[in-house]
Amino acid sequence: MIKMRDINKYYSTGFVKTFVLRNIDLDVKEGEFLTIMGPSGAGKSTLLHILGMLDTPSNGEYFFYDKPVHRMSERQLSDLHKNHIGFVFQSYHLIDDLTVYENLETPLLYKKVKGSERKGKIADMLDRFHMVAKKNLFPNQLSGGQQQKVAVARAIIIDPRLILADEPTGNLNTKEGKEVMDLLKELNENGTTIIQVTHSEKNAAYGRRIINLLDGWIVDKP
Amino acid sequence: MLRSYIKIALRGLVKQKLYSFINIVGLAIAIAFCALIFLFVRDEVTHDNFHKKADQLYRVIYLRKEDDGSLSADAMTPPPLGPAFQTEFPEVVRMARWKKRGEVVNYKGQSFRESIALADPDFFEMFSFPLIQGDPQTVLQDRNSVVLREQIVRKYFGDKDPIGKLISIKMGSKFYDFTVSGIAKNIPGNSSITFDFLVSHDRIKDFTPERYLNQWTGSTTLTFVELRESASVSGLKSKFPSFIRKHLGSVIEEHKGGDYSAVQFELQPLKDIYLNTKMRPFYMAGSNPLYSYILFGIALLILIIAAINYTNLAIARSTTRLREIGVRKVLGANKKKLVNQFLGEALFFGFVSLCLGIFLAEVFLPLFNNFVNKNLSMDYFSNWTTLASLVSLMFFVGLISGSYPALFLSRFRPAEVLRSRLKIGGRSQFSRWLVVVQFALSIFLIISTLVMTHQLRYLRNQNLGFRGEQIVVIPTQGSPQGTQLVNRFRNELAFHKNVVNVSGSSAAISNDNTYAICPVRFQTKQVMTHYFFIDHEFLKTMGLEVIQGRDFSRDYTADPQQSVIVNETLVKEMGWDLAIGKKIRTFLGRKEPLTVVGVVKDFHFESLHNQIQPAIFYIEPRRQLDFIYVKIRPSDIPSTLGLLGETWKKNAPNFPFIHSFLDEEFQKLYQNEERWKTVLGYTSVFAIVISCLGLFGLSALAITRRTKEIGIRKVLGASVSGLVSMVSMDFLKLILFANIIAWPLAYYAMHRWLQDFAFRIEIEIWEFLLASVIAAAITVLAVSFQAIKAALADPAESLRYE
Repeated sequence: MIKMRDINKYYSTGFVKTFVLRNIDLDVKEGEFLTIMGPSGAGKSTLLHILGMLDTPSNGEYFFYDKPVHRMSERQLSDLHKNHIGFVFQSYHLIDDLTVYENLETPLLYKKVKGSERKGKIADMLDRFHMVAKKNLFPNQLSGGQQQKVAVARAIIIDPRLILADEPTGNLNTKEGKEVMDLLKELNENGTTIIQVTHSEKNAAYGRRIINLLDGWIVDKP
Repeated sequence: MLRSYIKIALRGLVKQKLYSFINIVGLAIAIAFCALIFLFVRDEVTHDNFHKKADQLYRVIYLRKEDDGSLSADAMTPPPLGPAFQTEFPEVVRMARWKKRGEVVNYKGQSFRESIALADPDFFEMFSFPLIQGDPQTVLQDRNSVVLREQIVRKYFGDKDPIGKLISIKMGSKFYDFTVSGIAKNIPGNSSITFDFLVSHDRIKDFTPERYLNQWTGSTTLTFVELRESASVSGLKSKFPSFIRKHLGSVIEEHKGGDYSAVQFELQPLKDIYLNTKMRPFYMAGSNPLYSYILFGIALLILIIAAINYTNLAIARSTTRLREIGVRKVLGANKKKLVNQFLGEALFFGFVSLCLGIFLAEVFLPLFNNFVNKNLSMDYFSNWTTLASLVSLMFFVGLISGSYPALFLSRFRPAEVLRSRLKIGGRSQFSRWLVVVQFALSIFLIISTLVMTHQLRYLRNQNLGFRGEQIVVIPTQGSPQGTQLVNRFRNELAFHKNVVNVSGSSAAISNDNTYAICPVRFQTKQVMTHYFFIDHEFLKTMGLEVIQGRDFSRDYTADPQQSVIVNETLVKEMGWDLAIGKKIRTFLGRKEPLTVVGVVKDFHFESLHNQIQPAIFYIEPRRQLDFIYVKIRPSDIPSTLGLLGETWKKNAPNFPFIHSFLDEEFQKLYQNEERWKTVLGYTSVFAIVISCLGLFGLSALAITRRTKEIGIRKVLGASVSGLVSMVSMDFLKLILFANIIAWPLAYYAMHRWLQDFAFRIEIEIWEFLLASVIAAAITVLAVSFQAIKAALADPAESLRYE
């Protein structure tokens, strides 16, 4: 599903290049649950963003379903992730001015899903996440766990093949965190590929494979 | 999708009340201002376009070669020209000559002074002035018929049908009865031809001697011609030289030495007449297009400033929206969609502002009409250009204000946005310069308003040489017994306790366009001099001081027709040490030279645009006096005026009683300047309000950018007042730049404006300082509001996410 070869990411400041990622080679198969671990500043989030096509590598090759992402236009990229990739962030990133219902609706609107089908999908999601009563609330009227559940619901409403989660439980308490992780696990068991970034050994245990990053390099042991 | 955008925009509007308010109010003010200016400019440039045959109608212009070889153009033409054009040129289908004069109208014991227009019978066939009653072809055929304007009918006849009624109009020296033959609809405001009473042009014979009517040298009337639809203007013009040879040949041989280029004709399209400032308008309305250009320029500038203010505010607000943009990108929005969203939002703001702007424009329209002296209306449906321009105004505002935020905000990579690594625009030099320009404009306008106010106040308070507020002027309106009226007034009022004196004069004092100028010769020297026919009481009534010799007196029988009083300026021009006894020659009097018997102290008989000119005062019993001057005591003025009215009614029952105070008459000479001062005053308020909004936005932007810096400084121990002044100083620097730009421009513009006045103030430094202080005070107010808010905030708040 994913093939990365010799990916580098650096920022040029003056005459100095600051490397964030170095010579990353990575393969991810369909249906995997991969965990990326590493200390702060190791480049975990950058790698995740590159995987999610939110950021571009400085050089190197990235194939998604054998298609060369590194050569795609912005329009193609946006087509790819609106159809195949769902995101979950540490700080949820819901749109504050939209209600729960409307937040769920937004990716469907960008995918140009028809009205009746849209309503059905949102109703399913609300039902599945037990949020029906909260559909007209705004994000700031919800607890962190609830917000993250909405974020997960929003990520999977387009039936993505890949979910990228950036410290999804970072701002949650233990119970809320466990709920979200169980959810991800359930999705994975139904066939969705999941790549998560985390500091937590406990969360990492949900995954089946772990890669460690240190100063931008993939290393064997933390 | 659209629904989602609208929701976001609406919720944003409600949530960010202050920003929305500033945006909408700023844009609305600008739109209202532009809408009003649009109405004004459209009215100006479409004058006379409403005539169906507007493109076929021309006014004949008469060009004469002056002694220095230059050509002078004049719209006045000889009376036989029109008929000759029509008979000799097949291109000319119709012609109508046009003339106007003020005359007295009597009907059923009422009398008013009215403007009487004269036109040839084809007038209503050529011009689109619809008749409510009467046949356009024949309504002016009879030389005893008169066409009245709708409103005039109401004034004289109320609701009664006036057709066939007789109404008495004075023509020249006699009253004649006219039969009402038609009623014309009220005339549109954008017509430079207007009339209340319209009679046949043939009536020119009543007040013009026969010999002038048939000669080609004297110009007394305007000539309009209607050309055949297919006619070639240049083809017609090529026939003019032989026409001139035929009719004016003998005159040219005699007076111009056979130089046939000394007289030419030109055809001026009807539509070009109104805004042509080169020729005096004569019996028609005219206007200077410069005012339209200036207003249009200011309106455009204000609109652009308001739109760019919106841009600044949108960017300032973008920190809170960056996350939304990032999330949208993650969810699959591409750049185009985001651009559309932000442009749509700007258009939405544009629309709301448009609604409010139209409301404001409607509210201010009566006031605006009042000082541009027009009757404009927001005719949304009757004139498609109104609605079209309002809608395009909205799109203009929406696109200008929306495009930069749209492109700016949609550009970011979501990863950067979501990790808040992004810095909102560096120190945007562009928006800083914008503030400088805005404030330069405001300061310029404030200075101009202050200088104009100062000058106009100076004009009001200038000593004219007499007490105008105590002198009542009553025109005798061409009454054949002008002099007799003056004498009767004097006899009847001589002993009244509130009347000091009564006298008469031939020319109005307070008139800038007098023709009463003649050469005065002394030995070999010649001076062009204003002349006034007066009576014995004039200098006393006006309270003018005789500084050499004596005033006219009935004790000297030689005073009428042989003696003359001159003013100081003439003495200076002649270079006399002693004026008394000097013999001067003028066209006045008999063959004998006139003897100077007195010198009167200089006083103003024209507006202060002009220096005091040389003048002579002369008693000529054969000449009727045109104005009665009554000096009254300043107590119980209403009853004194009532007394004057009764005296008038008794002695001149056929003429309306018209009166004014001499100081008011002088004020009327500055009407134009007063009006422009008001327009500039209002404009500067607009400009300041909008600049303030802009400054407010920019300071919001700056403070957003410096939130972290302010937080750190606070942690390090900076005080709130220190922080506020730090931020304010940044902006005061911009105001300083604005002053550097505005001062020289304002000085130059006002210096030029003041050149129009012979009597003028010095431009003073306080006018500049005051304008700058106003601008600086406003700046500090607008900026400190934001700065204090930022400085008071808990630093932990601003530093948390770093």
